[in-house]
Amino acid sequence: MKKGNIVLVEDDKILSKVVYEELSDAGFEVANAYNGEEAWDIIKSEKPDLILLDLVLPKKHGFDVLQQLKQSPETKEIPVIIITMLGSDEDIKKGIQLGADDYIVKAQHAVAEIVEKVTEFFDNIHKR
Amino acid sequence: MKIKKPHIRSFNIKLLVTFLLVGLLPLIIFGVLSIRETRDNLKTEIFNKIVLLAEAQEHQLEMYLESTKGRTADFALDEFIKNSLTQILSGDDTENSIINLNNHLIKNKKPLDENIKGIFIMDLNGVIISSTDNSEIGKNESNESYFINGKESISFATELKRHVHFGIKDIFVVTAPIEDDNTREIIGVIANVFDIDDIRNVFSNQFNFSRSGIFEETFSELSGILKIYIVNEDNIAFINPFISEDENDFVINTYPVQQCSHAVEVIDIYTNHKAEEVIGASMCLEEGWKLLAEIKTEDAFSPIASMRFLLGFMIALFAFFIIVAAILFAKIIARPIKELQEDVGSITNADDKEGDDVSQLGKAFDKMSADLRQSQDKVQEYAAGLEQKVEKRTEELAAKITDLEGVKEAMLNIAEDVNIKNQELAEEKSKDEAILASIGDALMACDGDGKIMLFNAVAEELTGFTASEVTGRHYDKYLKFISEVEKTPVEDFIAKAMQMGEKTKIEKDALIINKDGVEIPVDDSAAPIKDLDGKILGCVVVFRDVTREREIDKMETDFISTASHQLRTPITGIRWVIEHFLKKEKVSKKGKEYLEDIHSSTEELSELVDILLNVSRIEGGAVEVQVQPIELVDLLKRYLNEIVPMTTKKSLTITFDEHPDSLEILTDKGALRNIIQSLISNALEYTPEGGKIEIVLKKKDNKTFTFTVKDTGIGIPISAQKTIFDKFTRGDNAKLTNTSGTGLGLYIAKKAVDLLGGKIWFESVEDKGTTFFVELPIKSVSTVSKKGGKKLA
Repeated sequence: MKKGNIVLVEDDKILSKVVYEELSDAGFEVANAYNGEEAWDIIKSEKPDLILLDLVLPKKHGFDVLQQLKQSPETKEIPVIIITMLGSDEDIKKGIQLGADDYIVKAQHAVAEIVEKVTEFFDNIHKR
Repeated sequence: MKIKKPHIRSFNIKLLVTFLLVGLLPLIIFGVLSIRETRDNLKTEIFNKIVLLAEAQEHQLEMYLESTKGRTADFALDEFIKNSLTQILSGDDTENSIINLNNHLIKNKKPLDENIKGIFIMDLNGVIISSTDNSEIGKNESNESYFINGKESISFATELKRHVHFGIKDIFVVTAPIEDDNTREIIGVIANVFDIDDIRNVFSNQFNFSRSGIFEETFSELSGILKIYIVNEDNIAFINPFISEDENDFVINTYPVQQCSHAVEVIDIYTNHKAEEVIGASMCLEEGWKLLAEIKTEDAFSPIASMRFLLGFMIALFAFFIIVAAILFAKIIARPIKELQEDVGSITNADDKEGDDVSQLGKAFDKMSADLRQSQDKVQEYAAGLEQKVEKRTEELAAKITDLEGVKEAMLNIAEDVNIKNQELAEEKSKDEAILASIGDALMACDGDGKIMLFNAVAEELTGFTASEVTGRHYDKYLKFISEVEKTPVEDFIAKAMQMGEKTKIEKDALIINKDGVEIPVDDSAAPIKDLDGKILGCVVVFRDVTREREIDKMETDFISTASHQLRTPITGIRWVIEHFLKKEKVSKKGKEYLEDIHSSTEELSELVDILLNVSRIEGGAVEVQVQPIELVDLLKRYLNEIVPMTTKKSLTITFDEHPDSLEILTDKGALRNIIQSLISNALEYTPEGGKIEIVLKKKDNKTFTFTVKDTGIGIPISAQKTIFDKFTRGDNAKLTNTSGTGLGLYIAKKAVDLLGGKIWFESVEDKGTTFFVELPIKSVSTVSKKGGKKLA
């Protein structure tokens, strides 16, 4: 049984592939989006349980996607974890302000830690 | 009414004559004056030149004459001549003596000077008794001036076509008396005969020669028109270097020649021997000789003739233009007068229509004014009664005014004093104002109430308001500063400067809203104006447009952030792929080892990227501090936990025993992390296996804490101690231990400590160990702008 549906928005093909495989191995259903505009379309059709959102994206910045998600009634309830290279405090602050649930700075973590964090996240939801 | 033609014509003629007088008269006067002036100048110049030339010629001539005289005097002293003469006169062996003397003159004397054409000796009766030419002997010269004068002293004379001696017509004879050695009596006269043609040649050549030298410049313009005459004692011009032969030997008895008989030398304009007017100069020489230098005035003043022609031409040209202009003007002016004349004529019905149009007009006006005068008289009569009343009133007032006058004078005196003071102040003020106005930044000064006193040109340009618009008004109406991010008014730093009495700066990223509502990034500072007692009188505000600076700053920040993102992405990719690969794929033990090596290299690379980006931020300047609350004990413990794998690998002991239970600080997280990481990783790197690292955290007082990292490492050699915080500096021993160090860690740590307002120093003994001390404020101050600038990662 699948643990949950995730949309992974990540423009770097290699990072996207690794995370996809890691999460799939861990039992999640993952759909990939490679730019900001695509992300919006896929999220609308997939209605995932969680969104992993990169910030620096082609076509549309991650913050703009986030804002759009939180403004639309269909998507505003979907939790979002930002995964990015940008590690500055302002970015974290801004992400949280815009309604993100968590924040992962890629450069500071091993890929396994991302899977851990996602699993943890779903556990918490189920507990509630 | 019709105007007859003659009226207009007479008016036109008057106008024309006036125009001609006004236009031509000054031109004529000016022309005549300038010609006269030029003529005078030219005259003086020619005078000078002629005199100069005449003097030079005179000098040459005198030299020549002196030499001939000297030669003759020498001959007169010749012992053989004297003895022979005595013998001849005594009558002993006369025949032989004469032959001997003749031979002596021919062989020994004449050859001494090639110019001597012949020599003869006369007895006291003037009879030639000896000569270089036998045919001369026996001639009686007793009436000749050269004999008569020659008996007395050395003298010379010219003989032109009168006496032929030695076959020469024009001769020049120099004579000298011969004395008896014993008796000192004169016993005869010796005569040297020269050919005047020789002298003529000498002078012609000499003059030509002198013209090629320094004289050339002076006389080139006179050549061809200058004439020189040398006139002899008989007033005969016998040497004339510039005129043809046949003109020679004419009598000149002109004014300067006559003047020489009174020994007066002349420089003047006079009539010459050909009845021409000349500019001339004369030199009076010995023996009645005269030297004349003359230039025909006509030739000398030829430049003036051309000037005269030019002037005449100009006058004619002007006259033509003036006549044309006068006719045109007359038409233009006459037309309205004609119309006026018609109008006035119809008013006055004057029957006298004689005279030109203007005089007709005059008559019409006369009649009108007569009518007016009549009416005026009536009014005056009426006014007279009124005047009396007014006069009485005026007298009363005058008395009062006199009283007031005294008071006024006193006041005026005071006012004058004040005025002088004011003037002095105004001068001082305008000087200061000029200096302030020319400052390159915008400048505003206000008084204690915030009313604008000074607003310079740059301020006008930046705000769009003019100085006259804002002067005397409160500054807050015109200087509207807002925050770039929040778009709300910034703190009133001007009021703050005046309130606190010290300099203030506007907050970062402020904008000014100008008259047109445009937002312009500015940087401002305000300084209170104080008097000598420290009382605050107002405030000076200097602000400038920093649009460009902000743009550059933003570009730099953007670049670093992009570079940071672009570099980290592939590094993370490598790391994650290896992690995933190791987990999923079966690899040999060796293969696993290699992959782990790649992984750890990648981690190092990642750190290096951080370091380089930090350095580039620091180099770019203006790294900002954004403080946040941090619990330091916990942070350190967590960090030490992270590095446990490394310490175990090298069997290092790390202790963190001495510290307060907790230490809440307010600091920049990035900067703090840089300090801790740099010092601890250095200790790990340079402490050999089995070594010890001791970390201590102490609260020094309420404001500062110290953080110490002590190791038992290789130490910093003395040679490197001074420069260890410099970029790329590493101790020689460190280079041996680890070749991959960048020499940037301590540099960044030092910069980070500086940013937080702290201090860093160390104690080190080579091969024993190093202790780094860091002292930091518990509460650092934020300098970060709201929109996010460069910070340490």
